[in-house]
Amino acid sequence: MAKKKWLTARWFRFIVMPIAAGLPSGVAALWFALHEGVKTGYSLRDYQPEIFALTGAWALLLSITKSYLTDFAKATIETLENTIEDLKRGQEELVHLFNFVRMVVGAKSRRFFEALQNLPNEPNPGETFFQITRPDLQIKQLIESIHGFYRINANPTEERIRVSLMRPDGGALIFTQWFPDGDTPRSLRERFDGTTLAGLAFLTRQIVISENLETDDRYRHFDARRDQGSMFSYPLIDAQLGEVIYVANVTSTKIGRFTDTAKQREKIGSTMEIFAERIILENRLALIKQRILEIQGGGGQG
Amino acid sequence: MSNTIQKQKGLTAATIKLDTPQQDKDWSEEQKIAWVKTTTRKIIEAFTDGKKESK
Repeated sequence: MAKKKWLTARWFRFIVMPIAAGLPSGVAALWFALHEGVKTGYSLRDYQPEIFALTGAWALLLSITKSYLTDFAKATIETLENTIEDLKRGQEELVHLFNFVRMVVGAKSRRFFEALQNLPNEPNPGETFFQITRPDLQIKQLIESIHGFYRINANPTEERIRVSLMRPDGGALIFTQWFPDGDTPRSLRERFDGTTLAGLAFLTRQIVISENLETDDRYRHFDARRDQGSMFSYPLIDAQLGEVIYVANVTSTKIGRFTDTAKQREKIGSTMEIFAERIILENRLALIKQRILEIQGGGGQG
Repeated sequence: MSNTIQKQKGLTAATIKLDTPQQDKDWSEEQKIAWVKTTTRKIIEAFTDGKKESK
């Protein structure tokens, strides 16, 4: 790129280019003017019209080339501007993501601090463990953070975002968490099989995106008026268990908010992976707590 | 809870904020969004304009 800098230099544009365009015509005109009235043969004597036509064509060609280069430069600048905008947007989204995860960490940190403040003189490690570990609350926080991440740049008067988490239950999926709290899914008591968006995400272990819910047969409508918008379902896979433990659904009231393109899939996948890792971690903690309670319960009975 | 440690480093003082979001109180959703936007802007500015400030 640096080697081509002379192309945009002022001396090149304002001196070299005009001279290169006008010089041949000028030299030709001077040549024929100097030989005006000379009847004996001299170079190019019989080609005066052709020479002037050729020098004119040369100037025209240079002018066209210059216009083409200007267009090319404009297109390059436009592409660069778009790339910079994309990079800025990507940078902002990355930091948003980081900050929404910080929110979740903050809530946990606060719980630890409160446990520290209320620690009795003779603390019981088991009780303290149960007090500070609240995977149910942390998963709720994570769902809220997913909602915040997808809501942050949405116009609240034009678009509403809902996030829900489903878990497998006897061959179907059922709701286990959602956010906003007041936006309880109308299909709360329904079971979702493998023909639905969430069910397909569960079975295929892939993100499933619907660009327009109204016309998508995979989306189940529970009211006479069909829901509008777009959504994606993301399977949360615990690699150690080798199972899909949850399916997260993010729904927007805006059609086309989520589009089924390779770029969008990659973007959603990269974002959701960050939240999924933490949800999976909290789920493992929940399983530990559940197991301890089962063992303690069993021991008590025995 | 708001812990701020003023650490003296020769002639310059560095402020280390130990606060993490939501430690102080339960925030409303709007407060959280506002916090994320502000913090994001500050982080991006710190990483992009940091050199200007150090001049």
